[in-house]
Amino acid sequence: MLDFKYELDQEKCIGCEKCAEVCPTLAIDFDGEKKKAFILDIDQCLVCHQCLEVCPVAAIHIQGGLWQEDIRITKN
Amino acid sequence: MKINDAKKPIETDVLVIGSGMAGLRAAIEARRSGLKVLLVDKSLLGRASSSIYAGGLGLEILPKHLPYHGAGKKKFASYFNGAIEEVFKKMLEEGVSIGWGYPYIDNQRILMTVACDYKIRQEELRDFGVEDPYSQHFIGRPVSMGVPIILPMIDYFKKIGGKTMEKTLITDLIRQGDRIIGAIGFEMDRKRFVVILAKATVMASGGCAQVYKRTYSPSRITGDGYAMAFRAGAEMWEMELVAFCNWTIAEPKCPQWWIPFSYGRVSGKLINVLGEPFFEKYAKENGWLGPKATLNENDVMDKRYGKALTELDHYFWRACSQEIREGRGDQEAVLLDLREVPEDRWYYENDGIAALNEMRNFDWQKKPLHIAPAAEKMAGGIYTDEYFKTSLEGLYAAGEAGPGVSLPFCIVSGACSGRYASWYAREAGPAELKDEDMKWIDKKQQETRKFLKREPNDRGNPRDIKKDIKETMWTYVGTLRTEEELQKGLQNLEHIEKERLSKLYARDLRDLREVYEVLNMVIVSKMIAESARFRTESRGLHQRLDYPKEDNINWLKNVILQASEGEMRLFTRPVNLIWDKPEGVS
Repeated sequence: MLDFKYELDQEKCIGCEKCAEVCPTLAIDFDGEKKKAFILDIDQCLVCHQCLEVCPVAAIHIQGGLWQEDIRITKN
Repeated sequence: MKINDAKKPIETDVLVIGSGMAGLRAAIEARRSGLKVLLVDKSLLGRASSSIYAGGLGLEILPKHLPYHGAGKKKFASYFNGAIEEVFKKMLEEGVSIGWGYPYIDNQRILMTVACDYKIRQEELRDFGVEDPYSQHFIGRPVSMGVPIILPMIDYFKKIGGKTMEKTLITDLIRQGDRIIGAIGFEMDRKRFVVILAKATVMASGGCAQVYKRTYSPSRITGDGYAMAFRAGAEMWEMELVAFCNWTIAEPKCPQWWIPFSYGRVSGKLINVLGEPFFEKYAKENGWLGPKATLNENDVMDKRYGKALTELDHYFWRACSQEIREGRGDQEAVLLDLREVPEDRWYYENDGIAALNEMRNFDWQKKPLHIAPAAEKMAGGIYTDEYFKTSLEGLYAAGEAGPGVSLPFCIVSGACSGRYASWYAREAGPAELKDEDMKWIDKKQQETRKFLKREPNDRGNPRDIKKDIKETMWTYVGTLRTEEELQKGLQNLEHIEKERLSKLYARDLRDLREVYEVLNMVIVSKMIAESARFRTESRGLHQRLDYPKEDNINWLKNVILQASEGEMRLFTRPVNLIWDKPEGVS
């Protein structure tokens, strides 16, 4: 059912916790020991783009999902 | 993990707890009157609030939005159009502005304030750098619709000299006599306790829909404000009124999100697992149909059933819950059939049901969607008068934490509470800690330290306990309620309280926030269950199977709940029917 690709680059992650803070559905969580954010349950992702907006080092990439132009089902 | 002592208390004139729409608006208002204002949030500013996901602020059609609003759409969006008297009357009967469907038990003065003030407050958002105050209308697309409204407001508040603290959880309010003189909590990043002294405090911490298993509120909406105000001795009201939304996706491996409020959705058909339409049956049995109901499947639902959609909304979740309860649901859900919705209705209202495909490939053109009710928001909250002052001196409440809900209510109550709180702060003397307050703070901080010292164990994981609370609340205190089930729910909650809370542990400060959320969720859950037991009638959002009728003779009252000597005390207060009454009531 997932219609988009979600990537969280653990190497780029600086452990600021911001993405885990804003995630409304707990799709992302924060590992307090490793000091890294991680994907807990991507099925819960709303594609709300909040994590992407707050990440200071662009460690998150979402492909597809929201705001793509071809999202409208073309008539006929 | 250790937590450091607080430095000396932070002093401010007005403290605002919560940075959603209401909290920000209150903070801006207080700051604009020239006082020192501190805005505190337990997560990132504005980002963890419901306001950033909610719709319903731009309830007015402007020509530039017309491409989104095709024919037939205007009736959804023109709620606040017309004379103030008309708006007031609509709000009164449907309860939309500060709830959704609980007729005649609001404070009519608050309703009138919202009806009069709303348009000014919305236009005023432009002063705070918001480009288009009308952009956040009924959406339900999985976009963070509040971003263009909330973020400029945060910047504006900082620009005019407001102070902010992020990731700072307030655990309790400091009460001195009958007055609230500030709050205590801890800063997660600096790993230390904080003590804040404030002449006036505005509680704008949002609601508690996260106490339910099925909900689409953001994960941090756990009722902290309700619980701490209650512990401080403030009166709570109407906690039984939980608004559910029927149109929430219940597909496996999918987030619980609502289907856009749109021309397409209201053209759909509700069917059960046998493929039978069922809403009509319940509507006829219970007299929900309006006099002009066409019952034609090709009409949109308000025409089909002859009533405004706002009024129909709670009938829908009632019918669906009943159907699921009687075993005709599929995996605890009913089906919404959009297969026969004409194509020209797909895109209305910001792409309407077509927007669903932005999130997942639902294939609604080929098969019906699973949907089921989910908790959306709390219509009740901390009791306030029409000046948004609570029953305690120096404590004000706004937004969902206060006596209503919805974005229009947030901007109006935010502005009003901010203003009245700053008036109070000017008049009131300084807040000073006495010896006994210091002792109380010390005791509270010892309690907090206990959670950090306790060894991890399998019964005290706060995340697991949260799941148990959610399950209990959904099973026993959900959409349709009976005395028996409510009692069972309360027993379960008491069991959790006795057996599990003493085992709670936290490995770090993120955990510690979870621990406090659990403690707050248990209190709030008990408040909902107790108030629901107390109101022995059905009215709008509160549906009892053992008392199915609305009872205007005995129940034109508000259920008030207050902590008294460690117990919950419940009593009623008659509604002040100043301007309007239901038919047949003298």
